[in-house]
Amino acid sequence: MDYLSKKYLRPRKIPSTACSGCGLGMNHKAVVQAIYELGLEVEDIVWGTSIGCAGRQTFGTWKGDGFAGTHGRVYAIARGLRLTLPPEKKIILTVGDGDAFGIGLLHLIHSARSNADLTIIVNDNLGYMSTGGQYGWTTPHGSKTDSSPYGMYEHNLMSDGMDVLGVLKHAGATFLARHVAMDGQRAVESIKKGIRNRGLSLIHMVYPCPTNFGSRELGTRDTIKMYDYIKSQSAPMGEEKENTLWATGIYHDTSDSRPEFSENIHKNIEKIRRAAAV
Amino acid sequence: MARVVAVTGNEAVAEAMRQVNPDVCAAYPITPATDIMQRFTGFVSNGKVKTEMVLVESEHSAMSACVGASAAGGRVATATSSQGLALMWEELFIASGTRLPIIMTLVNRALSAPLNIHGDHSDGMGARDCGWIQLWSENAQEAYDNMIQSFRIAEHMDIRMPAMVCLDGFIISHSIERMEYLDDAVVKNFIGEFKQLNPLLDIEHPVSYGPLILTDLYMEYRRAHAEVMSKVSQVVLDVAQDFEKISGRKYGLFETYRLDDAEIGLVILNSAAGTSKDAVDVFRDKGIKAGLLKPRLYRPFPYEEIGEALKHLKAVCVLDRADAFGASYGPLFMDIASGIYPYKDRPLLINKIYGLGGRDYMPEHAELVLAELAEVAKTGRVKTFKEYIGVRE
Ligand SMILES: Cc1ncc(C[n+]2csc(CCOP(=O)(O)OP(=O)(O)O)c2C)c(N)n1
Ligand code: SF4
Ligand SMILES: [Mg+2]
Repeated sequence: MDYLSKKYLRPRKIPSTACSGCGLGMNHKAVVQAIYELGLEVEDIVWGTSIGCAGRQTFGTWKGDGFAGTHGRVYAIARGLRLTLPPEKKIILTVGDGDAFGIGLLHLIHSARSNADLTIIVNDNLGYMSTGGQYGWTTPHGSKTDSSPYGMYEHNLMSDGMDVLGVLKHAGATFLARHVAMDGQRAVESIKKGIRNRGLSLIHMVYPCPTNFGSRELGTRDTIKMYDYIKSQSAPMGEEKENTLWATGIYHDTSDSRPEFSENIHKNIEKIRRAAAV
Repeated sequence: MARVVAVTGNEAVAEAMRQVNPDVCAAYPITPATDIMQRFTGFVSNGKVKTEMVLVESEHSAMSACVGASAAGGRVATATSSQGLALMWEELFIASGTRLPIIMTLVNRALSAPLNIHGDHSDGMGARDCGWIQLWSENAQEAYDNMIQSFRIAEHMDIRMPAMVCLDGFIISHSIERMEYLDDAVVKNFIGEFKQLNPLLDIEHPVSYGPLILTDLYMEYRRAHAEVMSKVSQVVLDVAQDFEKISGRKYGLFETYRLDDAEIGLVILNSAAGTSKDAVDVFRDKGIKAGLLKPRLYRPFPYEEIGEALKHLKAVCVLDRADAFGASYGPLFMDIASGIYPYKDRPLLINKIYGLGGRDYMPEHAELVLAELAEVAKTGRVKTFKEYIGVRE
């Protein structure tokens, strides 16, 4: 991402300290590419991150303003920020699956309910990878992880017909998409739509973690095998196969269909103030 | 027969938990404590324990699950660190206020922000007054021994309070040491069967946990809590005596090292006490009467006993691996100062803050402090009461 990183990222943070073979950089690049294609500049965006590999490896990479949340709280911080930031400024969050769909899910649901103008990229490495590879709430059933040596069997948000994007759709999110790291331009297009939507957008992006997930589930850190594991189990929506775990593409799009969180608050407060003044 | 092993602090704690075989454990991963519950989950999966293990979605939920399971009448344990403990804060008070003898290992780590995963006592110090018993451990052996004793202390019928066992993140949790494990049967016999007290689900004797108590009785509840805490020291000593019989290892409320005839002394918690003892030896070899006191039972704090142990010294330095912002002195310093305050002739006291966020604490640091103390003792004058050591200016 040479030209992109020069324009948008802090040189001393690229490459990141992620393990070799980690797929997070592909997701990161897709986000920066989308920003570039939308013609946005460094000062147009405030970038927030979570804890964990997903958060820490993208933290401080953005040349402009950035902030880190504690585990699961960055959505709440971002909503506070949204209220005070000019509406044309974009807030982008790069977070982990455990952060968004586990410890932070309540904040995420309320961000969706209130339709806060945030674009959240959930970088899903299929569990808690920076703490050594415990299973999480998107870990495929049967996967061997550090905390499920005989295969993960708990109900989660991506099994038995459950889909975390469904939860968020019903909570009020106005743009939802799912991709895998290898989706390239298709993912970039979804992220662009997400950024354009004036409301809560979330792009769920599965990526390969050879170090922890790969080594437990596949018995190897072989990057190619881990990439293949994800790629072969994903397919564009409508073209799903029997083994498809991740149907990719736009899951739900009602962009700009209802008032945005901060706009809604400002408008109503203004109305109350005017009524009080009469 | 005891087994001699080479293990990390976390491994030792997990082994103690295996031997105790609690009814319920709840866990959420956090560095550097993850490894404890990680290994313990292995014991659950491999049928080595009968524990019901629940992996929850946050530490707040972990402590909440522990509260529920303990109120239901189970023997319950968990482990955490830093931000995890911070997130449990609300439930810590629920556990102690409802007198639930939950055992938690705290692998001490710095608090955010800025984010830091290394050894530091800010987490445990932040929770020192939440009504839990706290036992601090210098090394893997002490962490293991404290774990086993903590069940007896917390579950004692006169106490029934939750207890935290603290050990230093990475320095102890991830370093391999030589230590001794007790036999499974010996541990089982030592801790005994878990005795329920007012459990839920005893339909003949219904109970309510978590009532609303306003101005009429709240203060009486708090005083009752304090009264229970005042009995902990004796129970800790009794349990230590029994523990010595099975292990040969002696424990008290605190450890003293060459302190009896000392004129200058260090007070320091956990792993850095080991480093400091070497420095004490260096000074003794030079003919300077140096000594050390290492608190073990930190809450409830044995003010009188520690005051007695330190009162004869000329100068003492309390070293804190945590700061108390706005209070001027570190938390351990303030407790030690309170402990010696009642004595007319008391040592001069200074405070050093060291090792924050895992910053190395080297023998040279301890030696510099001892040299300063020797000077203070000689002149009777203190230049600086509180200072950071090992910090870049
Ligand atoms: C309150 C709290 N609990 C636990 C942690 C420890 N922790 C750090 S990263 C992490 C894993 C997060 O998983 P995920 O969001 O999926 O990120 P990944 O590392 O997999 O990218 C955890 C549990 C923490 N920092 N704060
Ligand atoms: S542990 Fe996995 S997700 Fe984290 S940096 Fe390494 S490869 Fe990437
Ligand atoms: Mg993850």
